[in-house]
Amino acid sequence: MSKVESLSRWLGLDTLKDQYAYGTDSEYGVIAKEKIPDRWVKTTCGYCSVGCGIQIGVREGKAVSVRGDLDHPVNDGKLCPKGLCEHESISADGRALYPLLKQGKGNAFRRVDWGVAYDEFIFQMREIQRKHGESSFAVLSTGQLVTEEFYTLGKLVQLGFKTPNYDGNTTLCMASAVAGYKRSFGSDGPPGSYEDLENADTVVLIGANIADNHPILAYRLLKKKLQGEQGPKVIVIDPRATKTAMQADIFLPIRPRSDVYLLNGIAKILISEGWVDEEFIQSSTSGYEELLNSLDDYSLEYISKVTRLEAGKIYEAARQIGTSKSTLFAWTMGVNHSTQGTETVNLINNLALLTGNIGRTGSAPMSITGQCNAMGTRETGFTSSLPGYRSFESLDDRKELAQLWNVSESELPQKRGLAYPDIVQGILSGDIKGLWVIGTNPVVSYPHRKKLEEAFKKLEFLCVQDGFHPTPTTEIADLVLPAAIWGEKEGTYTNSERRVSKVNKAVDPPGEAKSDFDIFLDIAQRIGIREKLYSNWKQPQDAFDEWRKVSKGRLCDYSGMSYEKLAEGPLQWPCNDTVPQGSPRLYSDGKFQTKDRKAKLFVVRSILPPEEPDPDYPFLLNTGRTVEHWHTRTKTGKISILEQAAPEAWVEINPRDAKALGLRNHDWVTVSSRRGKISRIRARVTSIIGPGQVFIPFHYVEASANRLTLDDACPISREPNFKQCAVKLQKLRY
Amino acid sequence: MSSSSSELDFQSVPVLEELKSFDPGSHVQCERSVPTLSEGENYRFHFDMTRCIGCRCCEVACNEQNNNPSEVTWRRVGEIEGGSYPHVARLHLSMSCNHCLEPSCLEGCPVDAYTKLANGVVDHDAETCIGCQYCTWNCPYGVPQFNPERRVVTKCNLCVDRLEEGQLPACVNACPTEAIQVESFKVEEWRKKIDQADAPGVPPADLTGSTTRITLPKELPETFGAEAVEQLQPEAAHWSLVIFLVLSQWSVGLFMAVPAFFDAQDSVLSFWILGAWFLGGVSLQAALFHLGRPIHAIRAIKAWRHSWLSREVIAFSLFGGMGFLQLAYSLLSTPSGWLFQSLSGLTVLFGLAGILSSVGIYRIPARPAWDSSRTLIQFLLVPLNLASFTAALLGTYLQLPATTITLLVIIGISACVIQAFSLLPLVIEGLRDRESLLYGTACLLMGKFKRLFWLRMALFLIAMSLAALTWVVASSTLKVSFMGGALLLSLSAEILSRYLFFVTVVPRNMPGNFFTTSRVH
Repeated sequence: MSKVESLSRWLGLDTLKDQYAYGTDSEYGVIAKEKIPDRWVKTTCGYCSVGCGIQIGVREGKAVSVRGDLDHPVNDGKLCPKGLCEHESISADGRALYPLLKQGKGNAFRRVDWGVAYDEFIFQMREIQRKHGESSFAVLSTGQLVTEEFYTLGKLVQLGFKTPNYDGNTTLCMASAVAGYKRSFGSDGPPGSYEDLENADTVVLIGANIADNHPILAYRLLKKKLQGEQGPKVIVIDPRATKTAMQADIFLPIRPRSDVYLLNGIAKILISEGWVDEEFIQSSTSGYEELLNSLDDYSLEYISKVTRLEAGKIYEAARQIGTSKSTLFAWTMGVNHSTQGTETVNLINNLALLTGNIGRTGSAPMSITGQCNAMGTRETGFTSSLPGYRSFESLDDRKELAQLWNVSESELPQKRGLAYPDIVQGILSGDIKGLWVIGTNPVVSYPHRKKLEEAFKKLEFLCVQDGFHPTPTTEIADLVLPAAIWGEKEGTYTNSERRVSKVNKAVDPPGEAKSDFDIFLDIAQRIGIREKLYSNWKQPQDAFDEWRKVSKGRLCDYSGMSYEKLAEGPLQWPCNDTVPQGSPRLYSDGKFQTKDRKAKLFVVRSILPPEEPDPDYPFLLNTGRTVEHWHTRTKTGKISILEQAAPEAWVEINPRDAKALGLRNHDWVTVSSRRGKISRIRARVTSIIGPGQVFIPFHYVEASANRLTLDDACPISREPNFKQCAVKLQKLRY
Repeated sequence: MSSSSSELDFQSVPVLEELKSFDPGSHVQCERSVPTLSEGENYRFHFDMTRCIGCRCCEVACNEQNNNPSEVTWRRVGEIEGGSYPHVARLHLSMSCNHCLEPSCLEGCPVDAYTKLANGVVDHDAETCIGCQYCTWNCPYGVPQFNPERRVVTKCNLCVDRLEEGQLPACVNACPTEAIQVESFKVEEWRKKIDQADAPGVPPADLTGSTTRITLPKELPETFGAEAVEQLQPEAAHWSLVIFLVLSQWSVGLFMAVPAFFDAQDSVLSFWILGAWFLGGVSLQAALFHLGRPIHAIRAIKAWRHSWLSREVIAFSLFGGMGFLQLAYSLLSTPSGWLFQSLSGLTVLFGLAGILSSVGIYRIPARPAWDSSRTLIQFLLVPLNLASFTAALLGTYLQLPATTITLLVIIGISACVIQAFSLLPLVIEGLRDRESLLYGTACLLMGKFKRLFWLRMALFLIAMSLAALTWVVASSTLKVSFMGGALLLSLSAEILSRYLFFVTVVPRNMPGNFFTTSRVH
């Protein structure tokens, strides 16, 4: 601003009239003139897995506004606060613009061109693999890329680099749901649809604070009521009186991690009251006898005592479920983030199976996923299974895939490589020396931060590919590859209800950033496997078309989809010649993906949580999210309206505990566990948290909840237990 | 705190009856299109607290709609919490402008930048606005906000341009649970049902005739958390206004004290008038710095019919003009005679009118700590205190008659004593009752500003003592020094008073949340 301008501003001659003028957009109507685009680009939101249809307003090559897509079946034009300003993530400060290389540990980053970056990447990777074996190079990816990129990356890592040690941050998120589905139904794949949230008689939300984390699902849940109809009865099971609990008809403020008891207890009530679907149990499930025999101990009085819930309340919830025509059981991280996550999922599936609530309108056990395309990586990613939900262990699956890819069956791995927590352990034990991190920020998102940082220090080579730099993880990298983000590339996302939506490019990536798809193909080219694995591929559509063939006949069947068809509207898989318009539900025929085509009922006994409060660390720490931010805040922390709405972390503490510690609202405290401490965080004294418990949102690197958390993981899914550990609080004087 | 002790508390977790009443199903289908207005009808917001999930979409959508920077939020989501775990209710309250029937923003605006449109919308014109920010004080909901980039105030206009095109306001459009709606209402009927705009933590609707209808849960928890005092943030100090108030009032006092020098030499009297006029001039200049658009200051006289601010500007302008004439007269001619005395009297009259207008400005329900006769007393005592001591100082130096000086010192000391203790009733009343509107101010005075509070009192008392000592000491040098000291300390105390006046005011406001407890400036 020139001196003349600032003087005229100061005197009051210039009130920036033009900047604040209004105009009329032909579609949206009256809005600030600067927000009116030249064109709208239809795409899908890039934050969470709800998968809202969104349009980006582009003006002179810049994204200037967004609006909800009124025609999209997920959101009817609604968006959450993050979605409503998502265009700002594109122009946010701190984008990664150029490849950056550190010449030797401890040196500063130097800008290099892509050729040098690729050469360095391939040289380091090859050297490490030559010295320490192929599996000494590991890859950690994300749930944020498009499906076409996941598909490309899976082949590149497993067949190009020949390392099985490849996993995604989806293991920090949905692995327990994946493993639970596989065990109960023989395959991954959420069986229900969002429309079931509207049409169910009863919706049970277990460890799912959708009002904060999936606000548009809260809209779907209330939609019928908003239209003046009855709408479902809502049961919320959560230790914290969340925003979602405020909308509940029955709120069960459960004692943390006593969910195994509650779910078994409800199963027992359902069975003993005759509120089960005997016919469905007989025809479509196995393991009923064993389950029945295992439930003797779960008297209502006992469950009430262990869960600290009123017996009448538990019974009321069971009756609501048992006497409803349709019940949707939906859950998220409260269930998955547990050392018993997979088995807890199996217990939820048990309830759905016992009551025959699967494959019908309003009926399903439904995991609500985290990231926008966690589902895409589950389907195609080649991490926890072979693409198309094929099993590593199955020779038939391997043969089929090898044939589709025109490679030898022996080139495919016969078992899964290391999962995320085991990769970290592998680095510490010296088995893994090189790591490629793509689109994730482990320094903030992984539990037990100190351990992770120690591990990353031991790496000989760390390459981080991200849309943003610096992030706490890119800062410690040896090589940073700048990637395009949402709005700058093309592909598809699959949301929690298996709905595949088109993702489109609105603007060019900044600086020299490239789409992840192009980066993967460039690397493939340089290691000489592009022709073999990606013959004639030029654009994401080529990957999609191959994936359609690879998924054909599988549960996640894309064969009936095409980019042209998706341009008209999103489609739910399975989508093929028989069901060209896709499928709202799985297992409607009562046949499952198991060998005997029956769903399996599981007997689960509660195991003790890995850490419980004791006199040294008297509080139980629960971690989670807040509506204003997305994950590690690399995006939302730079969007001023969101950052201002929730600018710093806090620790929620019950007024009674606060009083005992002499804490008042807004006081500064330290929070410490056996693994680390947050040296300064504000106390938020509130009754939404129970006595003996505290809650910290994990988004903030400045006061990182994951300095405190445990990295103990579910033995089946390997998903860490972010939700409970023991901490102590100390008041700070200033 | 062992886990077993907390176990006991959970044993008897009863049914969450309160929450059962949070049933959004009990409402009729909401209006998804802009209603048409019949005769006698206006538009208004309806906010349904049972539906709001606190997602803050409305805040973001509003800023996108209006291209506002993040520090200006026309719509804000507050939190109110009641009950104890697990019988807790965390309610959210999304509010923007209430488009009041008797808008206090409009009432106080000195330039008539506000219009109450025929459809009920309280509209504000940024081009007319001079950025005096008086409306931001007057609104009990903290609605109008100063945009530092534009240097004017801006506010929600219910997206009136959209309404006129049959389009819903941005916040209504964006709300995922349709908790915010726009509806039509009959104005005269609403006056009888205005309590439907009341909600916990929200200033009473009848203050300004708020039109936002609020649907509350059928059963509210019995108790809501009182204002978290530890979160209270001081308001802006407004240094330009601190200087303006103290100097203008001092200046008026000096003109009042002119008769004390009728017996002195003409040059002394001229010098005195010059000093008085100069102070007044400086104070008016200082006030200009308060404006976002000082170049348009002259517009401020426009709304003299209803705005105390306009009246203040007019009165002090006339005061300055009369003072100038008085000064000119004293320099060009012998400062005596009926013309001089008339000018002198008129100057004082306009000066007092100015001070009373200043009082009128601050006597506003939206700022309870100001809205008291204390403001009148404090403002009127400033000239008595400062001018008496100034006159006594000069009088002592010039060895004017002892009776005059004694009278001046008595006036000054009395003013000092009253000023010294003038904040005590506020603090006592405020601290006695947590529900009191003065509670926040009292807490700030006894908390964050405790030292300044006591320093202020001490300064007045020491000033008074020094003034009294002039009666005891014989040496004229000492007398002059003590009088000078008394003046200096009084002046500091008055400046400190005005500073505390501004920073500890604690405006009425809509409920804030953990991060925004006070008005955003």
